[in-house]
Amino acid sequence: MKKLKLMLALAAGVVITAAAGSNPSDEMFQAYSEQNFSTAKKLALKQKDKPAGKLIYALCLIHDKESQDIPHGLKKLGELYRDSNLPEALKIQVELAYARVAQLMQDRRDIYGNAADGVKFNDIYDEIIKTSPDSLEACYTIVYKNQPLIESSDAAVSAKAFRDVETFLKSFKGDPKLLGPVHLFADYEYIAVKKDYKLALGHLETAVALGIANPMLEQDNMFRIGRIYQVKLGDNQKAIEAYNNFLKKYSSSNRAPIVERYLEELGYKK
Amino acid sequence: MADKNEEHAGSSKFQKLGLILALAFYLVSIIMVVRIQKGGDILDKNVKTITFAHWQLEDGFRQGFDEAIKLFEEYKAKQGQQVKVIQTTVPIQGYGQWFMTQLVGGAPADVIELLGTSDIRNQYFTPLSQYIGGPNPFNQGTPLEGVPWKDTFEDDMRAGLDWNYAEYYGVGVCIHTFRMYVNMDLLQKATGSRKLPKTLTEWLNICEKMREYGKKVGKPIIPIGVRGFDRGTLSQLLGYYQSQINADLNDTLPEFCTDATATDILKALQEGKISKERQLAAINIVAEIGKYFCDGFPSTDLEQTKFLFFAGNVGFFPEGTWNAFSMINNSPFEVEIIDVPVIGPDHKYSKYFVGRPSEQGVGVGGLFGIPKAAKHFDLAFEFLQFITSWKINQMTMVEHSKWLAAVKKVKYSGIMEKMQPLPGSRRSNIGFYFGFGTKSWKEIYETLETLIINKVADPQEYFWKDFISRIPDMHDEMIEMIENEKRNMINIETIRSASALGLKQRELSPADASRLQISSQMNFENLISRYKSTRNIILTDQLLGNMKTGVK
Repeated sequence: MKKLKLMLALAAGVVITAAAGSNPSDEMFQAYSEQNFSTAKKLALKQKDKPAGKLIYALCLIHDKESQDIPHGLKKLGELYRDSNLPEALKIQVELAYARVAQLMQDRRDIYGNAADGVKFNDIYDEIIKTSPDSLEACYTIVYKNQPLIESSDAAVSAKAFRDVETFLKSFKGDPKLLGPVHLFADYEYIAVKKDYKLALGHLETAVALGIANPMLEQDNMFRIGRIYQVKLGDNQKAIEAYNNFLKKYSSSNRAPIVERYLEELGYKK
Repeated sequence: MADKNEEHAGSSKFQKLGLILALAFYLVSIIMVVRIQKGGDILDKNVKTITFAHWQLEDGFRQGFDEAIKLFEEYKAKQGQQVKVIQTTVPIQGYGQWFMTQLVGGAPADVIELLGTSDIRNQYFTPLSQYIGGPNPFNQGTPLEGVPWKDTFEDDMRAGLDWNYAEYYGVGVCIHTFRMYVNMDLLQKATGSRKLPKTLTEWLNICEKMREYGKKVGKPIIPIGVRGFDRGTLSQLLGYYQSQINADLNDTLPEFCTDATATDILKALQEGKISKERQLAAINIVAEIGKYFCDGFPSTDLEQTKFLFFAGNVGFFPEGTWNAFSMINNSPFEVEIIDVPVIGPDHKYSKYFVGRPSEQGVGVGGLFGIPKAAKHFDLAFEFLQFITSWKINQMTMVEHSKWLAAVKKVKYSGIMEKMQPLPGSRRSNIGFYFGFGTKSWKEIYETLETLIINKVADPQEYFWKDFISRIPDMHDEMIEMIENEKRNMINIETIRSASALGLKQRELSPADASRLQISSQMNFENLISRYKSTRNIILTDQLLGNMKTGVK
């Protein structure tokens, strides 16, 4: 009897281990992350009663160019968004995707008509920032929400949007590296809207210090630091420092001869 | 009766034999197809086969890669792996169609020369961003040992980056510069000297002498050969002289302190900070040069011009260095390679001349990528790193093709020294911002062709009036470009959600997690770049509208 119980327990253990080892959600997420939408959709349909399956299916409707149906995908996302049993782990993904797709659809009324008009995407963005303020999704949200507001012709709306971005950056407690693109956004908007090169430069230098993933963008932005110091702020010492930092990292780039000329023109000798 | 029965039995035997043979061939065909589908060799399933495909028919290219393939196969054999690499070449005229058929058909070549739009590359090609930060193992024992793969290229892999998706889909094998091939025999006969032109005026004076010489000896002489059909020569010359005159504006104009954009230039024009005359000086120069093209040049293609050059009818041919080997090899006379002459102190535009733009870091070409449907990704990737290693890239490009290599730290000698990127006046190139999309650029070239053919007295004014008349069409082009940027926004959201949900996998390796995080960050950075691009287009459209109404 003892032996039989032991064998049964072992067998149960094997079954549990086997079940834990096979992970259909992983397979589905992997297919989706590789943009293999046809496979992701098939796997999502196998889990059509689960929130993860519903989410992937909805996203495939939106992003699979071979069988795209964005309004239908938005509708599915909306159903998930309103599902009070949606697991916390997926909530932010549903919220962000729903709000962003609605925002993009409202920007293209010529194609989507008023299909997304009922979605108050800014309210959803506010919700994300409130509930997950230190997440990558919050970083996307602060940019998605404020880009049209910052560039508004209403000065008060624009000013508030700038303040919101600055407040977000100051109060962020997550991985600082996630803020790099938000700083690049601030750099861009301070120049585009306010022509404030000093404030822009602060954000640009922070973005470069945090690390820019795209090596071409990093090169261009390191170059820009020197140019802003020299041409816009008239600080030749800082410009020389920035140009030398550029040459240390990108001595064989197509901009290197140009930077060397700038240094010579500033009277810098190696 | 017995004879008929024997005859019937005989033919029946032949029929059976025929059926057996047909069945045997059918079975062998199935086996061959299945083996090839699985990437193995026809007769040996242990052999992994990959295909390397491109359109480069230039002298030496295929031979160089034949040798590289042999070395790669030997290297793999030493590792105990049987590998076969098949090189396939499809002429450029049919390559585009072949390329798409391969991708859509689901059985593409494993390492394939890239064409196509960003969307095509994103849909069908494996992103390589996760691999470019590590060293190329085939650079061990060379000057590029330990250097991250992306930094081993002359342009730090700039050309391989797709700006729409912020992803690398291909790596390049060559770089090319813009030079001029000179028929030294004709030069000597026409001018009595072998002195090569350094300035634009000297060049055009020699062209005049060549024309006179042709008339004198009764031979059709074309002073300047042209790639007319694809407007290659017009495009090169326009960009080249535009930069010599206006490249200094990159130092002072840019709003974002990078290179000048269409918005910067058109705004400065409107505000009177720069002159129309200076912005359009390159038009006058190209019209001047165009006097020495052949009649009917718009329909002359590259092969026709090369033929005419080899036949001794063409004096100068401004063209890329990809043709250097064939130009020298196939000419029965001496051919020199020189820099295309710059504006000299003896030219009316010398007052604007700011120098020859720098060629350092000039973009790498001949991009090769690995389709997602490739059967042996690891092997294809290994081959890609092999052919872009310091030793092999030099072998295929410098030794065989007489092309400049894509990798850094290469020393050139002889004729190839004349092809190397020049530092010039250490200025970057500047664009000619009177065209924005395919349609408006097509119209610019048509206008240039008209100016040249009709010998228009005031080319600049003619061009300007034509440009103003085309503003409504360019407005439509801008609208389409803005729509394209809006479409890009959904692509960015695609990548964002793909990276985010990829990170939700419970069993994710650190390498895969890192790859997804890098992809996510690059995508987020790309979002900001796309906002800038959209704003530029909108502002350019507004500035064009103001030009039309004459309002500042």
